[in-house]
Amino acid sequence: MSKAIKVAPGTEAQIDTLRAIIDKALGFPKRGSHVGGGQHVNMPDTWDGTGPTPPGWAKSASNSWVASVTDAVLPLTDDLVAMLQDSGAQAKLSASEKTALQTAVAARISVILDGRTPKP
Amino acid sequence: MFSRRPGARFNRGRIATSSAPVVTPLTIYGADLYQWLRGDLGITLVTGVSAWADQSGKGNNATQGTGAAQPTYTAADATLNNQPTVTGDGSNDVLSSAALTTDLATDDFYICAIVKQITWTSGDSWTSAAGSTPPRSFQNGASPAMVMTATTSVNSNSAGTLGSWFRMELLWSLTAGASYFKIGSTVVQTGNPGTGSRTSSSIFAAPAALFGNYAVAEFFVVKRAAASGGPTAGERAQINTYLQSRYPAAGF
Repeated sequence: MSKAIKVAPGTEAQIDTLRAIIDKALGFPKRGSHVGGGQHVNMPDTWDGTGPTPPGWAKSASNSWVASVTDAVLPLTDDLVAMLQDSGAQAKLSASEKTALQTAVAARISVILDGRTPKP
Repeated sequence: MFSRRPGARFNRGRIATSSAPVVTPLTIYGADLYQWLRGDLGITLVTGVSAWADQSGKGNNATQGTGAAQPTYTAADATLNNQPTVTGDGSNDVLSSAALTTDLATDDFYICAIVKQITWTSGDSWTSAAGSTPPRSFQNGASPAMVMTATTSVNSNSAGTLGSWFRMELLWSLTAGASYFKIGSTVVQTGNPGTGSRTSSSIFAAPAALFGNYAVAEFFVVKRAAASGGPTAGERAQINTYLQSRYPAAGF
């Protein structure tokens, strides 16, 4: 059994839309930076965000978790919400996207994700 | 202008130093080392650790492409003499390396890791070689305890102390009841958890859920026959030397 986590609930389509808004606000996909010595993964300098995620890159800020097309959730932790409420992140969103994000944050519930399937 | 006279020595008076070979898992196990993750080597950061590069040379890197599921990197962990460590949050963090399970699909394997359990939840996974059904998982049990499980669960009825770093060893046989789990130098359980399928190897979690909340400083996977007890006595002595040099104050 895993810990309960704060999520935004919705249909799979609603959650996919919300995930795209979050990625837009936070600037994903993002390329990683190498730390420490030794061998590191080879990362392409640029990536268009389609196809498999190259090692060292992060495609999305968050996975959605889908039980069915009408039952999906997106983890929205307090830390993630704080990043999304930063003025730099907000400046990247349209008025309608800000409204959709605020609605999702207000509708958060706590769930245990066991039994659901992460959608990469 | 200098000229070298026959028989003369350069660097006269310089003190010669011993150059004993540096012992590492790679020098000890050579081509049988299939994955070697070390906290001070090969880290790539985005939100957290997006990639932890395999130092074995086999390219079995552990990666996570989703920001929220990337484990936290601690550059100087005060609980381990300021060594760098990687921590899974127990909620959704996991690093996966699909190629590793192909490499070791038909071999017994041995895992040695320097770890610290932070919180305990029965069922949370430490590491798994996951497939359809059943996954080969090493996870928390009740009591607290550690469990090796595939077709059968083998329960240790004991575990490492919460909040303390310890050396964890796991030998997994694909065919017979020669598997074991060790905490430090003590074998706490032997048995036969069965085979199960293997399509993706991961640390901090089984594939979909069951996320473990623990920190890792080092983690390596070696091909070793369970029937002969895993690593040889000579290999064990060298690993002890290596871990003593890496973590002198910890007594691993």
